[in-house]
Amino acid sequence: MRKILIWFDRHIEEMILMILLSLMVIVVVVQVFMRYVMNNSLSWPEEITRYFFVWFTFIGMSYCISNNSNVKIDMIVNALPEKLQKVVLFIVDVFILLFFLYLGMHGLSALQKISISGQQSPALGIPMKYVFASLEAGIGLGIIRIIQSMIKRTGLLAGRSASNGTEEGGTI
Amino acid sequence: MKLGLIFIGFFSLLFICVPIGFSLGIISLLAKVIYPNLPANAEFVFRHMVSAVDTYPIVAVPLFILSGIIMARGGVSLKLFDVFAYFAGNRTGGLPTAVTITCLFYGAISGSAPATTAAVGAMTIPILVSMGYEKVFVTSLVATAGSLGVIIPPSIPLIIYGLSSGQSVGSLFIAGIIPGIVVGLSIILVSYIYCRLKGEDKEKLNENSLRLRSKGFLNIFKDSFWALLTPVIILGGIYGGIVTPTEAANISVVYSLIISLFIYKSLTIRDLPGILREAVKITAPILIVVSTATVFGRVLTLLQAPQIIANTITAVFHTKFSLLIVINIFLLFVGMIMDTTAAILILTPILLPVITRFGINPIHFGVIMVVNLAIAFVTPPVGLNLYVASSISGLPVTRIANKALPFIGAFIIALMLITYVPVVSLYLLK
Repeated sequence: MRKILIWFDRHIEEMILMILLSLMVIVVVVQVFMRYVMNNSLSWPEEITRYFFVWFTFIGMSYCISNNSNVKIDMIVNALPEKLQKVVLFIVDVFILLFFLYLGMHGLSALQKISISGQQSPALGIPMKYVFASLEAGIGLGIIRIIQSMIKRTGLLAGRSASNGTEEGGTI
Repeated sequence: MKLGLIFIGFFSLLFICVPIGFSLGIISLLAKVIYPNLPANAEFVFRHMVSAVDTYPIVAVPLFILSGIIMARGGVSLKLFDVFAYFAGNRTGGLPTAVTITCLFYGAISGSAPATTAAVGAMTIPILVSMGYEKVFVTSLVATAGSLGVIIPPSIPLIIYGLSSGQSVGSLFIAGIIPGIVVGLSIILVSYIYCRLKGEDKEKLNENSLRLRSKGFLNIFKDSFWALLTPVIILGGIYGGIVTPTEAANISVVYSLIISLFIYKSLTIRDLPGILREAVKITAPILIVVSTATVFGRVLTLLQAPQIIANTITAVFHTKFSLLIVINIFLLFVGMIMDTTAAILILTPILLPVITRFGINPIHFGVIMVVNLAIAFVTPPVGLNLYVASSISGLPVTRIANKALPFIGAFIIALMLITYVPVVSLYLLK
């Protein structure tokens, strides 16, 4: 049980993202095949690919916090003495947490409005609330991740080594 | 001035190391505090963060990253290099030229500069060093030529620019072809002069060229054929208007999988999860920036910031010539400290009204912007190519950066040409 939980903690977002990416590839393959081989342009693949992508983006938001790969400018903070560095990075986590809480709160009411309006996607008739729910889900996971990060930084889990050094950000 | 307050707030967040994506989100929310009448409330930010990434062209980004990784693991860059090395033979500066041309071709497979540096560098640096070239010279050459990855289509920064400016990604891709070749030629020229001045180990070169020639051109060509065909398929499809960039990206994923699994047999099905994992790792950090930067751009537009900035700039600069100089210097500077995607998404909505007022073609401007940011991949402190090249060669970043200076000089001269001669970018579009 404990092992399963640890695996979830390490890999849950990564797993979801890998599945979503594979789905995007498969759907676009189907579309290209239907259009050029079967001469039949479908409208749903483009739509569903976009929605996979939206979910990918916001699950990815939480993933980047969990593996510390967000794009950031760390030149100045790296130049600070180590103690001060820790304080600043903790404050940064607090900022992100507040951002999530505020946006998530208002996101809920936006989601409610979208749900009541009954808006649907044009090709597949998917209720739009399932598309917008992606950001709320990403925020939810993100809150867990940022709290984990804050706990690590304050050293409450002193047993585990603080392996959250600055990793290289996105390489694009 | 209130607008200044927003930018000061934004940069303060950036400099205390708040990730760029969150800085943009936070400042978009705070704008409402500074301007109470602004219609952009938290619900607006929430809705637009989602709709910003609900577009089809951007799906090309993870797909091109994925195909780039498959090609890199499948060893495609070496196959390309062999062909050009064959032609280079024992000519002066031949092998360094072959490296640059490999980067040009690899750029037509990959949409990323660090990925091009990594794929070509890992294969060619050891070969050139064994041929007697100075390691730091070769490393700085690959680090600079790797930047061609984002100028030669497909290009992730050009996709992002298309998204932000509303220009067609297909047209931007086509506009990037000749400028990429111009930059490539300028790098080749510098490496030729260097080899001419420094001299080469002709004995080893003769040996190598004999070895390749004994294999016979047909054998080498047969082996590289499928690799050489990749850019033809991708560029041909887009140039011929047969496929959209997103579809081209997908075709390149499928094609690269087929050739590495079944033809070169350099990958097995078991490698696929690792490839997906790497693609996820590279893609995820870009997307949150795309989402919040787009929202920030909309907030700025609601505040009419682009018009205000355009008015200020047009009041100071009266000619296209001086405007472009200033924009180039500014972009080079921004590229040095900021991530490419974020820079494009933040600056495009601000600069676009200015440049259209001066009658500069938005497609041409996209190319100028991307070439500028491409140079920034080789300049410290955050030039990613330098770090990639340093991890391949084991040389310190500062040494590579110093040695790259002549290349960067040539790059900047090419940039001037691309900036002031619009036809270089626009010729193929006519």
